[in-house]
Amino acid sequence: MIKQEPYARPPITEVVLDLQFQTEISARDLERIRDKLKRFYPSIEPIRGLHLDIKENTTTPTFSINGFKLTSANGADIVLLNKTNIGTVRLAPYQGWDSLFKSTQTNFDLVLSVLKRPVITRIASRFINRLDIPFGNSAKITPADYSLVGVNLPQGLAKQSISETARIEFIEESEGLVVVINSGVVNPALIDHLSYLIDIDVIQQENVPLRYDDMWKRLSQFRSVKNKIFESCLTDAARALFR
Amino acid sequence: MTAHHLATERAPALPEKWARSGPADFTSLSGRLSPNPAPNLDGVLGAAMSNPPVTITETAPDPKPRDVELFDARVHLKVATSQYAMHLSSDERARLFAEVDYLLETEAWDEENALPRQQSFLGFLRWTILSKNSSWTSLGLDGDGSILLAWKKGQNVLTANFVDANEAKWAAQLTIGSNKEVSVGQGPLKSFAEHAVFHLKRF
Repeated sequence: MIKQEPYARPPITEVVLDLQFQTEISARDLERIRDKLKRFYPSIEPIRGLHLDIKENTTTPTFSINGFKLTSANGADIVLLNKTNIGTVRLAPYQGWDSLFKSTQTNFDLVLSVLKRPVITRIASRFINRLDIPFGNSAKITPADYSLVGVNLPQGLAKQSISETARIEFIEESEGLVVVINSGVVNPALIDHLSYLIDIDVIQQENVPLRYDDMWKRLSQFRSVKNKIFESCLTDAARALFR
Repeated sequence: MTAHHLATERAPALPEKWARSGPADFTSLSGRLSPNPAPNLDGVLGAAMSNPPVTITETAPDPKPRDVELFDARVHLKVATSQYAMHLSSDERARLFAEVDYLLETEAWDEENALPRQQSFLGFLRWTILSKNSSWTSLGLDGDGSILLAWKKGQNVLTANFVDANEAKWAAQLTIGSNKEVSVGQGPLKSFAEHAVFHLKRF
């Protein structure tokens, strides 16, 4: 059964709504957009790139600034501004889809104050969820008791799991969107816990509507898709962790 | 039985570079989405290394003004807190942020101080969530950037220094009747959680 009511303590550690541009933004325009965003995201770090020019006997490295990571004073709202895309990021505590969506629109409006009608070629969402599962009195935790996504290994090969990661890509049924799920055990965030990550990307990279209002309508449809996928990945034992 | 159905045992401690060393590292800020993974430079660097060695140097960026450096340090601690925010109440988070802002205030900053160490701050957060204890009186910084905690009631004092993400040192000074007791310890965060309960009960 799919339940979609908000959780008291959602396990989301990071969410991103990302818009990809058809044309690279010039260095000057990147700086102008950065300056517009600075009011809301005052902590700024350059995103550096390395280019190697390799010839027969010489290799010349060139460093460049590919974009900026801008962080708000509360440390929970971030913009990743690159030459080819802008990602609006929210870290925990997650404030809900409406808040994230509005921030994404506001940030894009600031982009539009610098760039003249950029064409968007990809829209995407990313929801990174971390299940912190307490060991309690037991010595071991079985991830399958909490997550319905994972990898398979034939019986009789392994005595004990050392690490577990899985990646699945598919086109989902309802909206025809590309979905990528990465899942696996990660180093525990908390003492006496196992941390299990479920990272869900939902992407449209073809036929993105050219009209911005249509693009926003399309992006808003991602909400129910990612909710359905997330809920489908969980067991009731997992849900009990963050109710 | 499948790997997914295999049990995973307790991890002894958090590695120093915990966010980067896990078997599946998805915790980085999502600069790129999965269909466009970051370009793999292994091949490029391999080709370069088969030719004469390449030395790559980058000029260090200009040092930030002190107020910008402190502002960024405050933001970095708040970003680190976000990884644990689902285990903290909004009141605990608000109090913590107020303490961080106070601790790293530009006007009151002593130039002799070191900026807070991220691993020490993670240790403090992990201990707070494990112990469910937010009753401390003050939060401070050691000369090397370690996070310090103190509890004080009358003449009784308990202090803690978070060595890294897994370990703490602590000292208790209690006055019981006409006797003074002093004890010190160092060990895993779980051990300090137990010792703190013991000492604070006697305050």
